[in-house]
Amino acid sequence: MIAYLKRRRGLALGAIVLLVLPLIPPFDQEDIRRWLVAGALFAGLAIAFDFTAGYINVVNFGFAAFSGAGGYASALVAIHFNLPPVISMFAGVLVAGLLGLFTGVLTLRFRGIYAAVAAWFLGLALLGITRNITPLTRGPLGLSVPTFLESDSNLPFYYIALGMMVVTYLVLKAVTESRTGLAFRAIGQNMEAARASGVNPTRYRILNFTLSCMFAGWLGAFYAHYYAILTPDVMNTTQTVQVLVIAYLGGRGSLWGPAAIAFPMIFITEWLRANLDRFPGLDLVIYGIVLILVMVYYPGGFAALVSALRPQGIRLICGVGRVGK
Amino acid sequence: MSAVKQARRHGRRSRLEFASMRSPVVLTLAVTAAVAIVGTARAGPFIIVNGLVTGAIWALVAAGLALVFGVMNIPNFAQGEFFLVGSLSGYLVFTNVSPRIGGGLAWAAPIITILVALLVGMLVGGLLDVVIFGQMRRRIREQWVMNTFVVTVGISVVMINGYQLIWGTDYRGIPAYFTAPPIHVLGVGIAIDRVFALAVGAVAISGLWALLRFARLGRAIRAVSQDEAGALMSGIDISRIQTLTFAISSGLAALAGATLLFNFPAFPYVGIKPLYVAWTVVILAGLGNVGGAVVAGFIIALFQTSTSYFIGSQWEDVVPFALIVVILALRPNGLFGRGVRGVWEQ
Repeated sequence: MIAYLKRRRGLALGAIVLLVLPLIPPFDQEDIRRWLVAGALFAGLAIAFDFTAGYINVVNFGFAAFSGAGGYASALVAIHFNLPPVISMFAGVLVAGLLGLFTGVLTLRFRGIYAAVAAWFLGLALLGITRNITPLTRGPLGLSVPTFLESDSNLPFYYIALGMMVVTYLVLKAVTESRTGLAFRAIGQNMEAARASGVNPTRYRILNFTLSCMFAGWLGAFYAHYYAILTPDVMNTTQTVQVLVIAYLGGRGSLWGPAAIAFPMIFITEWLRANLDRFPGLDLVIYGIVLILVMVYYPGGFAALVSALRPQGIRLICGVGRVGK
Repeated sequence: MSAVKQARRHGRRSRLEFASMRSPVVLTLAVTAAVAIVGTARAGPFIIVNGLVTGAIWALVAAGLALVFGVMNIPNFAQGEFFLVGSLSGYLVFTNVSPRIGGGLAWAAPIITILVALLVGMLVGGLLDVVIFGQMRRRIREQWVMNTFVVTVGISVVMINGYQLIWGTDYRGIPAYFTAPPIHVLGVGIAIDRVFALAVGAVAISGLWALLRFARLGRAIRAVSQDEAGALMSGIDISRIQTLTFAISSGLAALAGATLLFNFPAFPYVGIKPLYVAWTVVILAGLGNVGGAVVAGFIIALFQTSTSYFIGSQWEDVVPFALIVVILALRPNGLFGRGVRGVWEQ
């Protein structure tokens, strides 16, 4: 246990900071705690997204649709079978996982951008279906969803989200550090070479899609039972873009980079939205410009920046995770 | 493992497999023809007429997308926003020009409008290429396709929200370009604006075809798309060609946006639908295939009009997407895609 924590100094430090953060003054107001919840949620989503984009190098452009489908599944089970959200969430995991499996099987013959676009179209079809089967989902009117618990405080929700994010990170990190993760990287870098070395791309891609979508569905279920309302818009491409921006700014193929960048990103956008409401859309303009600048001038993102700075002592302070080993 | 699978794995192609690879194309074309005939029989010829009109414009947007992909390997997610540029400049020009020239010259106003929109679109596209993709070309080459894809996502976000910031969320549209009564073809009344759109689509596509086929510039563009190093050795200024290609592509989308102003008023999210449709078309045709995009544009438009008539307009987008996924599963390189793998598929 101690040895494990030593290897994971960065994670342990980050977890402690995030645990006490909502109790320290500027962050203990309910408004800011709500931002923290969103931060933890998006951090988890960005980790699951990076698991596909950063390792097997396929941008799952239907990500939000799979996550939203998980949310809808969990909400519907909770409503119709009167189950507590903690249990119904696993219906979300199951549905999103099955969708991920299906996408993986369907796109396994496609390369790079074709797979991304196929996933995107599947997501759009899912969105259209969700919007149109109004008897079940109430369509654009929105489905009201029972929450985890009756509480005026955001604090318990924050700890649930944080716990889910940490579990997502630990599980996916463990996978990427195993032989399976090595196979993912091999496929992502050069599929032909990986195949020639005896890696079966089909199996690993399906596995990767399924795992990533399972976690997306789980976190989507959290979204449903936290905000208590679901509209088909949660499955829209703009939601995927938001997760994508966080994952790419954080740095592909590191898992911790997207998680670390999610909190400041959510804070900046929420602050802009709250304080510059005279200029609707300005927050997203800034979002987009930052994304373009990072992609053009520093495509490695935050994780690459940190690993470039590491020899100068940052390592001693936080010993953050390894990048590009 | 079957012989076919084994042949595929070794890159050889048995005659049997060749047949199985062609059949989805035949099947799709047959189904399209069937939909057209049955649709016409059950609902009247307007299915075909509407399909032709919208198909011509979707083909325009999609041809631009395919061109940029074929030449520059950029999967452009911001193509819809050039459509928006076209709608906005079309609106601004037409509402200012139209009241000033009346009488016998009134027919000239829409033509001026779409030409200005084409120019503005080309200008914006060319500028973006110089500022962003020119920089990227000089800096990074690895993971080019995925990186440029994400950058175009950023461009799209900036353009949509920048538009909203400056012009707000109001609809800026016009009821019609032409006031003349509709003409009748096969017993279907077609508004002059739709005839105009069809004509613009036909002229622009023929123009693009002639440019690529005969002009010196077109030959250079084709050379760059086939082999960049070879083009460079033949003395072609690749950077200039790529900027021009991007400009032409965004100009085509802007032209489409201005032409369809009577149907799609300018507002921040007007580009979403053309973007989805253009991508559907391009994927159906095979990425980078400009000629195939034109055919696929008509196929998709026909499916959309018949879906919205027979099943309901809210399913108009769902059915084509589902269809594409099925077709892709059968033919991963698109209907008219070659078996040859391009750099973008790595």
